[in-house]
Amino acid sequence: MINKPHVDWFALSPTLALIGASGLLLLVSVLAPKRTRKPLAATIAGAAFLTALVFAIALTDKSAHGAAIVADAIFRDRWTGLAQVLIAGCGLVAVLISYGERWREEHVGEYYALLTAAGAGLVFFVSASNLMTLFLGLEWFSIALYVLCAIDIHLVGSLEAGLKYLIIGAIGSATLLFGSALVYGATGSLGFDQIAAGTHAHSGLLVGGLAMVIVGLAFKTSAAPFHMWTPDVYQGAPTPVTAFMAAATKVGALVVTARILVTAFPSEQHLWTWALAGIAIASLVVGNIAALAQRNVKRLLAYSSVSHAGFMLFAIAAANTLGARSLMYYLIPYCAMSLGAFAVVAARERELGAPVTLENLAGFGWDRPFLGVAMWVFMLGFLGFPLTGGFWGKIYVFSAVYQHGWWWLIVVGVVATMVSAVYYLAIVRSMFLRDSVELALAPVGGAPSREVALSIGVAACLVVTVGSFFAVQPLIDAAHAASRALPF
Amino acid sequence: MNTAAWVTLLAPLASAVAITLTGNLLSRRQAGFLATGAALVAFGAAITAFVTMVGKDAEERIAQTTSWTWLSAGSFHVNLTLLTDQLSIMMMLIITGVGSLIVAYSVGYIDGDDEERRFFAYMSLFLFSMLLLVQGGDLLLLLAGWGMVGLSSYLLIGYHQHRAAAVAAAKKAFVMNAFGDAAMAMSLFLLVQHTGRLDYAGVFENAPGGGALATVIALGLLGGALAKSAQIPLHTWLPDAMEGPTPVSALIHAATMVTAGVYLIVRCHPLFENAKAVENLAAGLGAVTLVMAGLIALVQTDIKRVIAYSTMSQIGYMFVGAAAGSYVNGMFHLMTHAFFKALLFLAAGIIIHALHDEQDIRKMGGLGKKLPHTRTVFLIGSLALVGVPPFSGFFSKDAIIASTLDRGTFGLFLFGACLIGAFLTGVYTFRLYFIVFHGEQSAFAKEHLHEPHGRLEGPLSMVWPVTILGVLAAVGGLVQFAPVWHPLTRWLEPIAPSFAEATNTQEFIASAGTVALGLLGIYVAWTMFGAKTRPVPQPVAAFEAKFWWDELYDAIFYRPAVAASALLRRLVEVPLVFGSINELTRGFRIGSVELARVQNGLVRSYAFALTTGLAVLTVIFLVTK
Amino acid sequence: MFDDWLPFAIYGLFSLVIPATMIGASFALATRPKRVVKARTIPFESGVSTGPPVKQRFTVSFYLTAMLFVLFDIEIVFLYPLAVILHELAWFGFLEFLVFILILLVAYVYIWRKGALEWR
Repeated sequence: MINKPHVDWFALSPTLALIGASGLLLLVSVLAPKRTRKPLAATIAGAAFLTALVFAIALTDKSAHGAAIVADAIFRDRWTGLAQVLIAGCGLVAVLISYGERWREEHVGEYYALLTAAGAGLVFFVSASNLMTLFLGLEWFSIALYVLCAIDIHLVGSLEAGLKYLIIGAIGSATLLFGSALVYGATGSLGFDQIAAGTHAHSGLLVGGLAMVIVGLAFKTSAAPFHMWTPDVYQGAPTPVTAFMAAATKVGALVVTARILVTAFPSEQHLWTWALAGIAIASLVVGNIAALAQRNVKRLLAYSSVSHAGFMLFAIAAANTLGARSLMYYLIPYCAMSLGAFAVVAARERELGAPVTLENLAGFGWDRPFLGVAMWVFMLGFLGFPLTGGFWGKIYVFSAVYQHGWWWLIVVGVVATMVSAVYYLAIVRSMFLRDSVELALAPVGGAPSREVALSIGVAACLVVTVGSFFAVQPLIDAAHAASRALPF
Repeated sequence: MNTAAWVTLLAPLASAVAITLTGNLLSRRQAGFLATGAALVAFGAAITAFVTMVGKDAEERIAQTTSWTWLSAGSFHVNLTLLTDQLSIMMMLIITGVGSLIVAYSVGYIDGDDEERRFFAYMSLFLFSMLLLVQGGDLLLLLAGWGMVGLSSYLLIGYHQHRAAAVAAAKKAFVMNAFGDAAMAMSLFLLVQHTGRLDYAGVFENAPGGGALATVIALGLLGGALAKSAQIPLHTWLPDAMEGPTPVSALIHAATMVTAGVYLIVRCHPLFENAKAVENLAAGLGAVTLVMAGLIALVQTDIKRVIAYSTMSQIGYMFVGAAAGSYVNGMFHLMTHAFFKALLFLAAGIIIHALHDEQDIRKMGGLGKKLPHTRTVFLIGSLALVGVPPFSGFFSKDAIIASTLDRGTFGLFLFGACLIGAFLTGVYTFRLYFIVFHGEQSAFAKEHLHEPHGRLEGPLSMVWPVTILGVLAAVGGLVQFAPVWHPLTRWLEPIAPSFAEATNTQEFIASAGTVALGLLGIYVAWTMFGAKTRPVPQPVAAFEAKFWWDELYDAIFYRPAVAASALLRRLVEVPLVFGSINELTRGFRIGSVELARVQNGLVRSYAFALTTGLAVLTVIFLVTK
Repeated sequence: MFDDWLPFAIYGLFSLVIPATMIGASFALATRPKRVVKARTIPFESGVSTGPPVKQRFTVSFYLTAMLFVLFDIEIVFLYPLAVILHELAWFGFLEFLVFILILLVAYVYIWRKGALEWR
């Protein structure tokens, strides 16, 4: 007799909404009349992310007591729920940013189908409770993202970005899979809880597998030295895709890293805290130093995302409940800031018809005051300035690290922040300190009409970035509730 | 009631934001009306709050509303809390009442200026900051308001940004206030650290009851109060601040901001009572200031500077009152002073306006006939300032002077200083009055007197506020007459119970002395400047040089600082810092270039980095596990 | 200690031995005639001679169709195990089955309308 698992459809609802929409979008892209395709597809994708967002919020609300469900394949708890809320929110903003992009008509439906598929994969990924579903989720969103990176084959570098991401990503996935195999070999179980319960602690196979799992996930987090694909792919991919990747993928990878390390490998804590601290320091050093020399803004932001991966890995390395809380909190303004920053870059890119560099960003702040001020806020947020959520994010991460007794990591973090001021402020400076008129940077074919969708997206990011500073208490409470799902 | 308090606080902020955001959509005049309207709304709300409060029992009058908890960790909460009690409502009424009159006056005064909108945005911002200072329910909001009034005062003093003197004055005010802010912030941090609380009640309850810590805390608070209220030794910014537009001088440097120090002492009186020495120091400094400022005012030739020194002198009285333990009288004088000093400034503004922006009183003379209305209100203001009964200054000032008699030997010193001050006030105030209004019109006045708005004394928007203030300056003091009725004392008793109370005999002695000396001062001024029967003595060099305070600061702070920084630059900065920054940037550049070399775009090298990292991590794990 | 390293040692040994054997064997077993002919120096690939270029080329449609065949073929293979235990799974199995077919159907409609099945 076969045991039929009890399926908790409600717990799966965010995933199902997105994957259903993905199938629908695939049909729209071939069945709907050409002219209606773009608005129809964008509307469906937006509605799907909105539905997923609502479901995820409801799920978070109704999952106070965490449990592994559907034959122990996925977790239903607030850690998963809050991450799903974030990912769905990122997807929603990504749809808003995407709308004004000049997609080739025959691919616009597929674009949204893949975006929702990637969203579905990520939403599933963060709920994984065993190594099998973990890998399934990882491949699910990765494959969708490989294609998304290469979707605009007329864009210089897009195809190259997709190919590079595919090849390196395959190595990363293989590493994770190999690690999973070794862990399974050492413990004989796949579920995170069962791995922790196993008595095979400290065996060579287990720690070897752990190292590979860490590397596979650090690859998706784009932490140094596994970050090398990041600048090329972020720069080459269409900007809305980059925005989604920078925000949502980071949420997924970090949330899952924290989950698997804390849940499955508590006995190896002495190893992975140090490993993550090392990786985090490497990310901060590499990300910040390399960003100094960049002129291309997307590439600069890519390195900034590497250094932010370092900051957020600090929170996991602290291995305490304050760390988990600060990770969840920090992700909220971080997502808003990176989505918003890439959205502003996308706006300038569409206006110029050329890649955005520090030089041709000149005067943008005066031409488009709203976007200029928004970018200013996002940069200050990355810097951890008060009046933005980035400030509390850094404070909380530092206090988690301090609680772990690693005051020297705080020193590293503060120095890194100081260095990062140079390039974040360089963006602000080039936007505001120079006039576009005297530089004769005329937009191609006149200024394009102001994009309402993109402006709404930027405004939403702005509200979250600043709002998370003022509404820090409810957000930190939510993060606290989420972190209770992890067994510290 | 709490809604009313919120409206009071937020109406000026809304106006500032609206004027800033609408930009050119709003005409300059509309901006002025918007700011005035917002100030009036705030005043109306403050009255509503006041009336509601009067209807309650004394015990129920203190109301704290927390709209929102920002952060809470254990017992430590950071809230947005408004405190509405008898003290703050009195300040709210003064700020919004006098404030709305002054903003209304500005509509006429500043008319035609290119940057009117900016002016009204700043004015609204100032009102908001000042209200935040007095309405904030905890130390954090107090500090925020304290800093923000400093900022808006800086913006308003430097409003004429094309005038070098205005910019320098703004900078001076900012630096001096920053010094005070730092001192105050330090003591607030000490308090928070010691008590673990932010709200006033909690802090006062758990504050150190004595010893060195209590003294340091009180000293820090005193530093903040001295800087904001322009008391010796942090007073030199106030006369320079007269570079700002006249309504600004009236609002900030007479009626509201400069009295914040007095408010602070009254609000935090438990902390000062824990450190008696500091309290006596505050009273002593107030006494020294009131005499010294009176002496300097004798020889000033700029109409606004005379009034500015008189302000310093009057705030000296308030310090004496508040720090000598007579909180009610300090606050009482704060109120009447707001009326008559705003009146004097605004009247001076009318004169300056009528004379083509001329402020030198030596060029004025005999303006009384041409400006009869201004002359009347100026006279009322002057009599109130000198403390001639029944004008408002008499009631408040005499009460302060009388209460010093309750403080023993130290009180006698204060009493003496106050009497000297009363005489000086009579002389300098009426020197100004006689020079400006009495006698024949001067040649300059004949030539330059013009009618800027069709009326010599300005448009109605300028005349009405001055008239209302004139009425208030005349009768405002009748609120309390210590020997007979004292509603104000009863009102403030629950917040700040005074510990220096004068007996009726002492009241009588003080009143008789003060009024006699004040009238003597007026007589002296009359003989020299009115009837001119006696020659004007040669001005004393020390008065003219303002007792060399600026030179002193120049010698002990500015010049050593410049010398030290030059030395540091030569010995440290050039060889070490510049050198190391060059080295550092060179290092970073090399690092960047090297990293860029690794980042060569080849998939195989990326894969190599990935697998190398993996190998290193695996080996480390296996070795150290 | 040795226990921990043993799996890795074995794994490393295999990863060294297998390629080494392949390379070594090809050297050992190769029969190299002394005379160097041009045809012998060109690369050798699984018995297919690489040189001279073939004139006739397969169209892209061939690869596309082949790939689609493989994809759908593999998916359909999944139906076999399901068919075996369908009785035990009953309606649950049937519904899952339907969802699976539905997903395949969406993909099928997509490639069909996209024109991937037309031979060009």
